[in-house]
Order: sequence, then C-alpha cells, then structure tokens
Amino acid sequence: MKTRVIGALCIGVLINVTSGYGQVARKDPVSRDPCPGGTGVGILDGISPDSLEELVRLSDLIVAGTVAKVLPSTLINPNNPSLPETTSLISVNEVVWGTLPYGTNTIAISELGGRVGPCGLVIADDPLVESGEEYIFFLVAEKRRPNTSGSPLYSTFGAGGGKAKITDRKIQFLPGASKGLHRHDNTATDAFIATVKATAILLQKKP
Amino acid sequence: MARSDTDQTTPDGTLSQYVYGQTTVFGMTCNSSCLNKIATCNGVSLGCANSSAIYYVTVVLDTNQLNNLANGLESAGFLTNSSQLAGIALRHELGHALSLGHPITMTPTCSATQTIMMGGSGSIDIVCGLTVPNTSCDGAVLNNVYSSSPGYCSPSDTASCSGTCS
Repeated sequence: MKTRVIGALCIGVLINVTSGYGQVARKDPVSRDPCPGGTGVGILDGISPDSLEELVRLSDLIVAGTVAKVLPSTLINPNNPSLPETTSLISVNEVVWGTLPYGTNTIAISELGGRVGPCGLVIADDPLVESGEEYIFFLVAEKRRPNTSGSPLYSTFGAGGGKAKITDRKIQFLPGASKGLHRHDNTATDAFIATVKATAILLQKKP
Repeated sequence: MARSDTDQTTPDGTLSQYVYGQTTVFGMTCNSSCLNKIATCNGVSLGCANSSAIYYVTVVLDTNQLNNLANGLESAGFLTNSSQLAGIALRHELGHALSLGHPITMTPTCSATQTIMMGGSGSIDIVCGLTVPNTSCDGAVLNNVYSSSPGYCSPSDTASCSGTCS
C-alpha cells in the first residue's frame, strides 16, 4: 500500500498581493524544487488524548529522561526531501510505567522534523528535543522504521501530547497538547509522576 | 483527487504512530531566487513574492494510520470508513495549506470550516451537534485571512519572477 503525498499542492506561488512596484527586468523561472532550501513549518494531525488517563492508557512506555544526544536527521523517504525525521538518545532517569529492555538505560526516540541538506522542517507545536533537556516521555514502540540507533526505538505519542518538558522541577506540556493535558502544567515533577503511576494502576495497566 | 504530475508516493510508515496527516508550508523566504520579486504565471502578474507569501505546500496522508483510526471509530460506534476519513483528513489538511489552524475554543455551534479544522474529526454532527453546517461566517473569516485573492499557478503553467517589490 502506498501513501499519497500531494506534493506541490499550491505549487510555486500562493501570493499575497501587496505593493508591487518593481521595474521589468530579467525573468527568472520559479523553482519547482520541493526542497528549495530554507525551513518549512509543519502541522501534525493525529490522535490527541483529551486526558492524562487516555494518554497513559495508550502509551507503551512512560519514562522521565534526559536528552543525551541528538543524532543527525535523516529522510524517511529519499523521494520526499521535505520530510526529515530526527532520532535522539534519551538517558532514562526513571521508568514511570512499562518495562525497559533488560540491560539498557538508554532509549531512542524518533521525531518528525530536522534538517537534511538545504531543506528543514519544524513542527510548530511539537519541536524537536535538544541535548540536556528533561522530559516525561509518553512513548509508543516504533516498529515501522529501521532502527540503527543501537537502542530500543520509540516515538512520542501522537501529535503534541507525547512529551511534557521538565523545567525547574515542574512539568509543562507542549503547545500541541490538549486542554486536558495542559491542566497538569506547572505541577511538580514528583507529584505528576505519582499521578501518572496512580492513573496507570487505576487503569489496571500491566507493566 | 486527480493525480497530477507533481504527486509523489512514499512507502508505509511515513508519519509517526497515531499521526495520520501533516501539512508543511514553505514561505517565500525559502525561494531566494524569487523573494521580493513580482511573480507571474503565463505572463500574468500574481503579485509580490514577499516574505509573507506561501511558496510551497506539501500534504502527507498516512493511509495505515487512517485505517487504524477508522477501525477505532467504527468500534466506538461511529459510522465511518477509511475512505470517508481520508476525505475528511484531506479537507482538513487543505485548510492548513491555506494557513488555517486548529480552532482553540469549542462552541455549541460551528461553521463548516471550523468543523473541518477542529481536530480533524470533520463531522459536524459529532463536533457541533449540527447536521446542517452554518457557513455564514466562513466567507468573512477567509476574507480576513486573504484580503486579496491569492495567486495560483498550476504545475503545467510557466511561472517566473522578475523586478523588485516588497
């Protein structure tokens, strides 16, 4: 089965008509290159849990971790230069729920976005993690991509709700998360982790 | 949707799990050779290719994720199938291509455009409790976003840029 990419939907030019006053000069052909250089801004659409309960129920693994290393971005498909992904290595500080593969304390997460060659992609409400940042990650096992990271590969859940940033020992969901998740913003990290664990137990989620 | 020469195909697994659609907008700053020049299509001026103009848009739909979502909705009692859902998702992504975002507030009634942009569910009946869309506000909103008609140049047309503008 193939996934259709409607490339060049508005190809070339969707122009806002403003004050054009230039003189006639040499005409340059408009590039139709899907990767002309620069950075595109992406919006993701997907399952967006309305509540912490739903997010916990749908996650395979929940950890508190620190971004140890951001690997170079790669293209998901070499024929689509405007859709890069970036894998980052996460040092797990605490397993909140679920089980890490035996003998490892590092996992890899794959996120849409990054830069390959001249073409970049930033997901507006779900930016890539950066080295040194701390998060609570709500993860699903990533079995659809080749894994060359050397660590178990996961992706953050859905569109925007799969990671809560830890700043000054408080958590903050990203802008793309639902209102139900943003209710937990500014909760102390320890209290939030306790809430997640209690939620998982109430849902009878098996580790 | 008809397939054009610029459509592409990609293998399964394009997007992340539980993510079924993505729209990426490249601004005209990504097209430095035409930035701040007057764009023309078949010799007809489209306006100024300034930094607020959209240069290029890609929309990606992940059929596997759409199928999964359709199955989940069907299990939950909503009558839908992956084909219907793909249409809903595509309309939603086309809204993003026009620079429309996700509405923040949920209101008891909403217009067809709001419905399409509300999280992608697309069903007026489900989102608003309406079976007939209220489109009275859509024109005004879109006219606000696009105070002038945006230019368009199809892939088969000859596009060029020249001169200077801002």
